[in-house]
Amino acid sequence: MKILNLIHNYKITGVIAVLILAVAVTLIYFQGLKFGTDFSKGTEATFYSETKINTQDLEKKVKKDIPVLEKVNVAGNTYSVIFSGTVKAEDITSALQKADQKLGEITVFNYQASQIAYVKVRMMYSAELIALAFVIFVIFSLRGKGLTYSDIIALALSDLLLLCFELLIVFAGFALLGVFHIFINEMLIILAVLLAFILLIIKIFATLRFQDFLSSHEVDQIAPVWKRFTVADWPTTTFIVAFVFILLIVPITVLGAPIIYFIPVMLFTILVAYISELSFKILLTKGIDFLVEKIPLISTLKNRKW
Amino acid sequence: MKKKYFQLFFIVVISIFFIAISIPHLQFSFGGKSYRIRGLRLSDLNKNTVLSDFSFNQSLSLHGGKQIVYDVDLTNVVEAEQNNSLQRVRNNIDARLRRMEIGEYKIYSLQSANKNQIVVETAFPLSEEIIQKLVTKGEVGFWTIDFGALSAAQQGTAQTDPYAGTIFQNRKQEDVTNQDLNISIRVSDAKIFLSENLVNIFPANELITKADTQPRNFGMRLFFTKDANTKLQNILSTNPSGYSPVIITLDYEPVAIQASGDLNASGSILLYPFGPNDKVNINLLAAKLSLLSLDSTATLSSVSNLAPWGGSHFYADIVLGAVIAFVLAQLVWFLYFRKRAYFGIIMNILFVIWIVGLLKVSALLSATLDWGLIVGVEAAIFLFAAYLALITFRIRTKSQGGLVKEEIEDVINASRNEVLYICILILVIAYILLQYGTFGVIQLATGIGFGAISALLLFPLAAQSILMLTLLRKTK
Repeated sequence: MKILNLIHNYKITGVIAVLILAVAVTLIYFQGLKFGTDFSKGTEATFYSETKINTQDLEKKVKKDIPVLEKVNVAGNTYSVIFSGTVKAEDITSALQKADQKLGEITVFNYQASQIAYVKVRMMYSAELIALAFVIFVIFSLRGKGLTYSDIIALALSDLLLLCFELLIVFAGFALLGVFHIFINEMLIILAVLLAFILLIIKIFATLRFQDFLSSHEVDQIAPVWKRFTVADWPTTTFIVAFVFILLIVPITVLGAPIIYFIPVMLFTILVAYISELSFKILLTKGIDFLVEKIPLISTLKNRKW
Repeated sequence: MKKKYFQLFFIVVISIFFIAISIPHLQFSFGGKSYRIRGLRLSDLNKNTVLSDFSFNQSLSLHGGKQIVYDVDLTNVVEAEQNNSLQRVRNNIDARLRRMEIGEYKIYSLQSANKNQIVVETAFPLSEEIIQKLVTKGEVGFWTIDFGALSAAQQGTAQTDPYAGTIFQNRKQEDVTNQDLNISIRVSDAKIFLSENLVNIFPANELITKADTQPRNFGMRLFFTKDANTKLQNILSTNPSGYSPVIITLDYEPVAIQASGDLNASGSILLYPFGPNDKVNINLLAAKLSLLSLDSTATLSSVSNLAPWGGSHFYADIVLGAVIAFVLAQLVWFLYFRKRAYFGIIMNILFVIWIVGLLKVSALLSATLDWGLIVGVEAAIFLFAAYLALITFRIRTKSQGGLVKEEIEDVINASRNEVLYICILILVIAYILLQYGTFGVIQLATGIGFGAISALLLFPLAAQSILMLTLLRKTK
């Protein structure tokens, strides 16, 4: 229960959220995001071998000399060793020959996939449009439930900011994975989109539960009502979080590396989302209330029911 | 009550059909005998069917595929321009592949001091002919009747026709290039045929025969750019009565002829393609007619087999993982909700059957089974389960002493519109991801979108009946 009391103390979780935010921003700023060859230029070494080569063994040995090795592909008897970024041909040749002296002629190429140009733009467009659709949904769901304009705007905005905060943690996770030379490739992007979708569902679910809560509770000020709701609803939220862990993380775990490295990022993000929701909601609703009171032009929003 | 039983019967029938088409192909030995289980196929229903089966396109990540390497000749390009030139070739082939609708593929360029290559990886079983045709330059040619040459031939004053005896006899090439063409799309239309009189006009040849008088499944409709509209009108005017159709060539090989059934369409030409009448071949032709030609020559270097991305057990592992997770999740559901869990568990199972069944039906439209799709389906299952949890919580507040019919109706009525709104939101999200996502994300969006459609179909049909079946009491 002590942990629950801690989680339900919005000041403490707020401080934790700010600390996590600071670490995430620092990590992204200093480490940066490292894209794999699905999304950035790379280097590929190819060689032909009649005898079968243990690719995992080869990967381990070459990685010691060139840690940016991303993957080893086999097509028939042709082996391709793919590195992220530009690596000198002589370094690759010497690392490969050191790993296996029987390798035949090694050819080193500059590698360039086709989808590099648009991926970042596409990600931004998708995120912006989905965020807009989500905000409309939240407003639509809470409208007509006895809340004022400022309450609804504050709740929708806090959901949106919370989602941005969670995505920032995911990117920080990517940056951290980059330290261990795990690059952002299409698989990780799929998992990130999946995680964002889950977080969105959890928020939809919380909005609908809150909607039910409002039908049996008087609303004077939104912040304390949300706190009462969070305290009363913790078993439900915990059940949903446990359910998502089992349903989505078990299959990914079965698949093993390299996807498995993303699981701590998923778990951490969901956990942070779980504990920081209350502080985001309360701080933002209080902040918006304060702003609405101070600006005469929009002060009517505080009392007008939507 | 009758309505409830009718709905349940309907749900069971549809679910059995979905199970029948979803069963994978299994082969096992027991007691020295070999047994085989497989799902329902369309050919079981109708032996003369022309439709494809309830099977997905395979994917690189789950099934592996082929790696096709092309050498690109850039000897005539100055060294500083070689990289740009190679990327242009790659982008053009990429655009061709995208329009071929072959599901998942990867394309990348490799460049070293003395070698320039384009590598295509795909799980789609491309024929040798298509692999070769994929990288031909694709320079378009329009051949119309040369009325001057024709009348000279009729008067016996013609000079020797270099094309005599071929389908190009008495024809001239129009001044049309790839830049004049806007887009060509594959169409399925009963008008795609050649009339018998038209076939007889051509000298005996292998391309245009009596068999071409039968309508084909697929053809192409070709649109010119606005600037080239005059050229299009000139070409259309050379075939006023349908007996002097334009012939289209790519790299001087005839690939299509103006179809007989659609002469008066303004702004476009309906084409009857030569060669195999399959979707991929026609799509490739349409792609070449829609794009600029390659500015360098590419030739096939090698074709090799590729293992699945995550190893040979990848597919089995992910399916096994998904099944274990689903069973465990239902167990947690049961431990948490106890008596009220039956409603959610039955709905969850039905949802899985329906979403897999609907995806199997969509396989008729060449859907691809890959890792992204499976993840998308998992996400949709979570979404549906989360909503069922919400309903189960709503029931809990009313369920002391059992639920009466009116209370169940209250819960369902309160939820019906919500399901609609949530599904609309999910479909909007899926659509946005479909528009902007990479292939894997598009597949994930497909899984999520099909989840929303399954929920939209299943919830109104099944939720009330199953709630009544599992929780109804006559009195409190």
